[in-house]
Amino acid sequence: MNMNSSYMLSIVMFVYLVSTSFYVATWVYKRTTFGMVARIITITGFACHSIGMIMRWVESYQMGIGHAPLSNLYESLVFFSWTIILIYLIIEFRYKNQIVGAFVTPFAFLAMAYASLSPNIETRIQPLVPALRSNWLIAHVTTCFLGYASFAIACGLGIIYLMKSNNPEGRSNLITGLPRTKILDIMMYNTVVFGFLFLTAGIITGAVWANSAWGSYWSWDPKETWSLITWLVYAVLIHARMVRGWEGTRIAYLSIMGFVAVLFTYFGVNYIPGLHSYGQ
Amino acid sequence: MQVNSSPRSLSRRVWHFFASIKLTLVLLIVLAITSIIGTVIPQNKAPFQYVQNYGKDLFRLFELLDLFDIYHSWWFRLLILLLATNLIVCSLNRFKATWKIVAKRDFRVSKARLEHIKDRTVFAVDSPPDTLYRLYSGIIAKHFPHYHKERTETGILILGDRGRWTRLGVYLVHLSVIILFVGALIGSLFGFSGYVTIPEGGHVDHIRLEKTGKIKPLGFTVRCDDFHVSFYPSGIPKEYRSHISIIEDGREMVRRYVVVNDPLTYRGIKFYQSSYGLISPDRAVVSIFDTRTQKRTHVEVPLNQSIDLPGGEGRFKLIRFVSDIHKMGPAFLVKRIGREGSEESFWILARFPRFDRMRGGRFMFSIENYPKKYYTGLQVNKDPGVYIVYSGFVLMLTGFIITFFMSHRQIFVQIEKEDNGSRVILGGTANKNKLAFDERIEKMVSKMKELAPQGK
Repeated sequence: MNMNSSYMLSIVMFVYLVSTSFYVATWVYKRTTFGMVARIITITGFACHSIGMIMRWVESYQMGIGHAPLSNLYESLVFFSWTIILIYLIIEFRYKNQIVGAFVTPFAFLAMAYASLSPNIETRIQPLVPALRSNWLIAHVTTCFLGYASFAIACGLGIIYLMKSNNPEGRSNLITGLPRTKILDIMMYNTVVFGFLFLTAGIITGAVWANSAWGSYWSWDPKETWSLITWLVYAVLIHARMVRGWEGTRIAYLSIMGFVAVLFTYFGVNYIPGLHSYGQ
Repeated sequence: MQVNSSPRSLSRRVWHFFASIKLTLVLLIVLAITSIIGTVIPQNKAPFQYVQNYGKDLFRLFELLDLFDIYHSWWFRLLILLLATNLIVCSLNRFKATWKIVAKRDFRVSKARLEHIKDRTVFAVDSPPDTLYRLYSGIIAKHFPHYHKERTETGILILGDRGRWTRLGVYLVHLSVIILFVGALIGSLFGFSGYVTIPEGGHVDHIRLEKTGKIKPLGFTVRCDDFHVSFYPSGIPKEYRSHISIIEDGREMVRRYVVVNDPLTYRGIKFYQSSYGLISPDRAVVSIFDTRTQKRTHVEVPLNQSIDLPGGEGRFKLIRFVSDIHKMGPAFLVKRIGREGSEESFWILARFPRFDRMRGGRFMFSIENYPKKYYTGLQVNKDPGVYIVYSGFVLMLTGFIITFFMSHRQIFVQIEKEDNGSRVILGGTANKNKLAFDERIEKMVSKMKELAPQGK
């Protein structure tokens, strides 16, 4: 079998499926060995994932149409998944809790599965259309997806929070292993803040790019508008927290709502005609 | 019920209304929801399309509410104005208190605040306070370089305080939003955006404005010297480039090429490569293949002129040219008139000479050659507010980093004399990221404990 990037990345998809299963097993059976295995598999998958993206980059140069692998829906999904795992691994090392992995790695797996398996997604490397031939491409896409990935994780944390707070006594065995609500609350907020910074940077780099390509930094294109809507949802969350002192359940709901807006910005907008037609 | 309508209380009530964070949350949510409407209803389309989609009654209602140009409607602008006012009033309201903390270091205040900290570490050490102070000062100075030390009745009190200025971060963010609004306002008041097409070799001295459709003179001449388009092997355009000269008062001022993502700027007006197309040629060389005699003839055909077919089999003419038909490239519309006067019209594609074979007629038409002359489509914009907006962007990101990732940290270390040794009480607080700060304090405490032998 000829080893190319698409093949490599579809292997990564299966690796993430395995690591998701091990994270779930860690949560359900509370065995530290499972956790160790989950971590090793995830790191391996992440390494392969990185190699796969570099291979795709190199392949595009071999085809004579060299560009960073960030130019269409397939490549963005692959990168989305990569940023989720990257940020998750940082959180795992930082907070030393592996159960969160059971709620985060599925997002990375789903993104890879959608990219590799959906018949509507073009997986071949395509040349860049003139509008995308810009140095802003890398800055814009990386910042946006660091934002999206953080929000995906914050949504996962929100779900855990709601599970935990609905069973404070921990009658169920599945609940007791989850981190304390206080810690979850802080993790959730910190992830949202990190995502908010990058979403803002993503919108700004997009605006500067749009100004150099189309002569207007803001055109109320549906994708622009939805990124603003997403930004507003998280702005509400941050203000409610910082000034009104909202915590826990309300923040969890807002974080999940925010991620719904993210998903709409990412996928839903493709059904509305506009300037951002590259991501389809 | 008491009705108080004196002007002072009215202005205070207005101030109060705008100083509310509840108003902020409501405005942000309302802006989000109304923005959604604009992505669901297509914006700025022709009225007949709306009537077709929504029917007459709904069309009238939507038009009354400005739903077809929501983001420029009076009520959307009002919402933004309300948000701006709310932002300014809220910030001013809180700024006074913040400035008090930031501007001057007041140990009485910080002492009073630190006394309320419940989460404190207490441990006993076998050394007297002065010895301990000498041991600890290094560690404390590492985290709080400008700490304050004072002697109390029972021992020594050390107060550390760092990052007071970070409390200003949030005001930078709010200021940046106002700067964005101001930049956008200046752009919409003093800027314009329009469009122009110039054929190769041609020139223009005016553009057509996008919003009003009016003609706007530029005050100088823009000439398109040349136009090139290159394609990827798959046929997708790779780059289009216009060679543009600017001529003012008969003199050539600028000469350079413009490609997508790299506009030309002259007198604050920017020219963006936006589109291109082929200009309809006035003639084409047509190749006619007679399937019966297997003979091929080439004829130069002026557009819209009837030409006799070989062997007196009627006539044909080229009636129309389009630069791109269904993404298959340039095409000509052919009308063939038979001997008996029968008429037939069909398209032939310039890039695919065998395309006409599928029609299955006696004569197979294809385009051998035609003069290819392009026109370039340029987006023409002027936005004097754009650098104000950019400075707002920079300020916003700076403000975020300060607001989210830096904090005002305070600490107190009390070393009290007790029996033969001392009792150390340590506590601290941070206005943000408390978890990370607590970890840092824990590390400090464990270092202190390592340095001096612990008492019972």
